[in-house]
Amino acid sequence: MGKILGIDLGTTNSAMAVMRGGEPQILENAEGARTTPSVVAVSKVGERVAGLIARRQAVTNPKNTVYQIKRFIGHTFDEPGVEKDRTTVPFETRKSASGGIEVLMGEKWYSPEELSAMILSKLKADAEKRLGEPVTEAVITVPAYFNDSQRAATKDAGKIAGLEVKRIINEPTAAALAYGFDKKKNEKIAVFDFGGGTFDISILEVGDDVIEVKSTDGDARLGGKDIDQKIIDWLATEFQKESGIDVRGDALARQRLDEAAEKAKIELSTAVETEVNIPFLTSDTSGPRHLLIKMTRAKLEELAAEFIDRANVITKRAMEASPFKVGEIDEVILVGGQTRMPAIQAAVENFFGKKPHMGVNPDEVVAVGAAIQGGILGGEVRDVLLLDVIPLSLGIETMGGVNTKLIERNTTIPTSRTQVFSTAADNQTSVEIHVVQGERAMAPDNKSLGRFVLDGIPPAPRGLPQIEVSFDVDANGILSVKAKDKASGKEQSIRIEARSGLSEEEVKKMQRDAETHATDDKKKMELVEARNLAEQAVYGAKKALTDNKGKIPADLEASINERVSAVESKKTSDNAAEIKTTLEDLSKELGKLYEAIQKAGPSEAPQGGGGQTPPTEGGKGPETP
Amino acid sequence: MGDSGEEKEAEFVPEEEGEEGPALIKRLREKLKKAVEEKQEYLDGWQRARADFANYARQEAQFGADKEARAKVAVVEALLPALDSFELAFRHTPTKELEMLYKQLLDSLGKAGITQFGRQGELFDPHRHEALREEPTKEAADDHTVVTVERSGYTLDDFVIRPAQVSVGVYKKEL
Repeated sequence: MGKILGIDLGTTNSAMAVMRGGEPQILENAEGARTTPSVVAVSKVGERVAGLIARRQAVTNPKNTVYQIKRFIGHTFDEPGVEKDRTTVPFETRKSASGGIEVLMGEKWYSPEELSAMILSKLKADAEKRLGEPVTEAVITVPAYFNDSQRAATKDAGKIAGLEVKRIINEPTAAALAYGFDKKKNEKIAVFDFGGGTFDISILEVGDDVIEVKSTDGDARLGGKDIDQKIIDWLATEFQKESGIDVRGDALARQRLDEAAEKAKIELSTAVETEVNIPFLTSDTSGPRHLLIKMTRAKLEELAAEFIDRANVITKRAMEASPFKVGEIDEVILVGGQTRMPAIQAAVENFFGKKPHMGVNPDEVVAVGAAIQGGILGGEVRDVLLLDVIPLSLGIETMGGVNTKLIERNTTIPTSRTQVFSTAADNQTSVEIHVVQGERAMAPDNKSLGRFVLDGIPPAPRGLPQIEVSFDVDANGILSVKAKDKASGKEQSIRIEARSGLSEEEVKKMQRDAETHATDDKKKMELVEARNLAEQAVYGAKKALTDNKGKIPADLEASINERVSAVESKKTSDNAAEIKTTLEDLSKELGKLYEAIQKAGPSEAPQGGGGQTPPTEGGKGPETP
Repeated sequence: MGDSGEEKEAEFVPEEEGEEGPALIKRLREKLKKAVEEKQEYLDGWQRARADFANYARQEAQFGADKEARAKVAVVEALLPALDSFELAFRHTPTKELEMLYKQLLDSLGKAGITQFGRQGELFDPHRHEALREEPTKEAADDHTVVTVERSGYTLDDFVIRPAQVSVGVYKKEL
C-alpha cells in the first residue's frame, strides 16, 4: 500500500508531495529544499547528477548540463517552435532516427524522455528517503496546452524512472484540486500561473466529476526571471553611475547582485521600501567599493510593468477564447512564486474583479494538487473520511465547581480520553458526574449536558478511592461518559446525543463568551483552587495532630491549632492571596511538626501522612452528591 | 459535535410479508455483498490511517532529532551575508585586528559544529562547490580544480549549508 507521489515536473523547477493522514504534504529533497531545479548533467568526472548539484557545475560544464528539457519533450526535431529553442541552448541536439530530438550529454545521446526521467529518478529517490518506503506510483502534471504526444512522452519518462504513472493531469487542474474546487459543480475557474520562466493562464469549468479546460494561453518566455534581470540591470546601472565601474562582467559580483535582487523583490512584497546592501561588491585603485541603494516598491513596479502588461494581454486573449465573460468567473487561483508580488495580485484582481486565492503556497500548489489526485486514485481521499472536530470542550464539574476539561475543543473525532479522579470527603460513598460543554473555567458557566451518580464506593479516606472517568466521542459526535470505581468495579454511564447539543450560533456565542470572560474566570479559578488547598491543608493538619497525639511539643500543637483556625476563618474569603498567605504560615508550622515526629523515631513515622495526599489530580474530586 | 443519527438504515433485513424464499435469499445476498464491500472499504481506510500514523510518529521522532540541526542551519543561513562581508572585508584590508575577530567568529561557529570550507587547489566537486566562472590556467594539474574561492562554503557536520562559490581552472595549452 505504497504512496502515490504527486509530481510537478516544471520547466525550471520541480516539486513533489504525498498524502499523509489525509492531508497533502510537500516532500523536501536530499538537499533540504522544497523545490528541485529541473537540471541534469554528466559531470567532468563522469558522474551523473541531477537537481541542485547539476546546476552548481553548469558554468564549468555547459555542454553536458541539460536544463529546460520540458521545452523539447514530445516534439519532433523539425517543428518550427523547436528550432528556436534548439539554437538558444548550450548543449548539442540532433534529429533521432524517428524524427524526434536527441541531446548529447557526456558523450552519449539521450531522448528528452530519458533526461526527464533522470529528474524524476532523483525526486523518486529523495521521496523514498523521506518516506522510508519504496515509491512506485506517481501522478505527474503537465501544462494544459500539452498535446497527446507530449503527454505520452511525459508518461514514458515516468516509466523509465521506475514509476507507474497513474495519471497525467493538467497543471491548472491540479491547482484547482489543491483548493478543493473539484467539488464545486458548474464553477468557472481562472488559473493565473506566473512562474520563474513561463506564464500560463487557463480557464476551467467544473462539470460532473471532471474539471474541463475551456481555454488556455501563455508565453513560454515570460516569467519572474525577467523581472530579476531587470532589477539586476537597474542595480548595476545605479552602481555604475556612482562608481564608474561596470560590474556586469564580474561573475561573483553578478552572483551577489542576483541574490540581492531576489531578496529585494521578496522584501518589497511586504515592505514599501528596502535597502540593497552589498559591501565589497568590487574594488578599484581607490580601494573597496560598496553598493548601498534604496529601492522602493514603486521602482520595482515600474521595472516589472512591461511584463505584467504582457501577462494582462494574454489573460484577456484566453478569456476571449473561452465561452465565458470575465464577470462569470467564480474563482481565481494564483500559481507560481512571482504571484506573491502585490502589483501582480492587484492586476489580476483588477481584471477579474475578484480577489484571487493564494492560501496554498503558489510554488507548491500544483504538486499539492497532484498529490491529492494521487490520493483520490489510491482511495485515500474519500468524502466519508472527512473528519470532524468538536467545537467546544467537554469536561466534568470537580471540587469547588471547577470545569475540568477532558476533551479540548478542536479535537478531531472519533476520540476518547480517560482520567482518574477521587473523592472530596472522608467515607464518601458516591460521586456525581456532571458533564458540561464549554470553555469557561467554572462548570456552572457552561452548558450542562447531563449528570449521573456513581454510588457504592467503599468508605475510605478522601482522596483514596480511584474513580476512572472515560469520555468517548464517536464519529457522529455522540458522547458516552462512563465512571468506574476501581476498587469495587462498580460503574455507571450516560450517553449524550449530539442533537441535544447546540446550534452553530450558540457555539459561536459560547466561544466568544469564553474569550471575554477569560480574565474573570482565571481569578475565580484561582480562588477555588486556593479554597480547595485550604480545605485539604486543614484536613491534613488536623489528621496529623490526631495521629501523633502525645508526640508533639505542646507549644507547637498550640501554634498549629492557631494557624488552622486562621486558615479556616479565611477559607471562604474572596481574596485568593489572603488565603494563600495563611496557608503558607500553616505549612511552615507543619514542617516543624514532621521534623519533631522524625526525631521521635522512624518506627513512629506518621502513618496518616500518605492519606493526606490525594492520589491524583491534586485533590480535585467530584463533588459529594 | 457533528450530526448524529443520519439515515438509520436497517441493520437487519426484516422479512416482508408474504415474501417468497428465493426473493428473500436474493435480497439477503445483495445485502451481504454490499456489507462485505463496505467492510473491505472501511478496513482499507482504517489500515491506511494506522499505517500513516505509525509512519508519522516514526518521522516525528526523527524530526525531533533533526530539530536542533535545522535551527542551526537557519541561523547560519541568516548570518551568511554578514559572514561573506566579513570575509571580503578581511581580504581587502587584512589587518591584525580583523583577523583576530574573524578567527574568533569562525571558532565560535566551529564549536557549534559549523565549519567553513573551500580551499584553492581542491578538485572541483559540485556536491561541495558551486562554479561561478571558469579561469584559464597554464598548468595541466590545475584543470578542473578550485583556482579561486570567491565565497567560502559552510557545513554543519556532513550537511552542506551553502557550497563554496568558486572559479574553476580550465587548462589551455596556449594562453
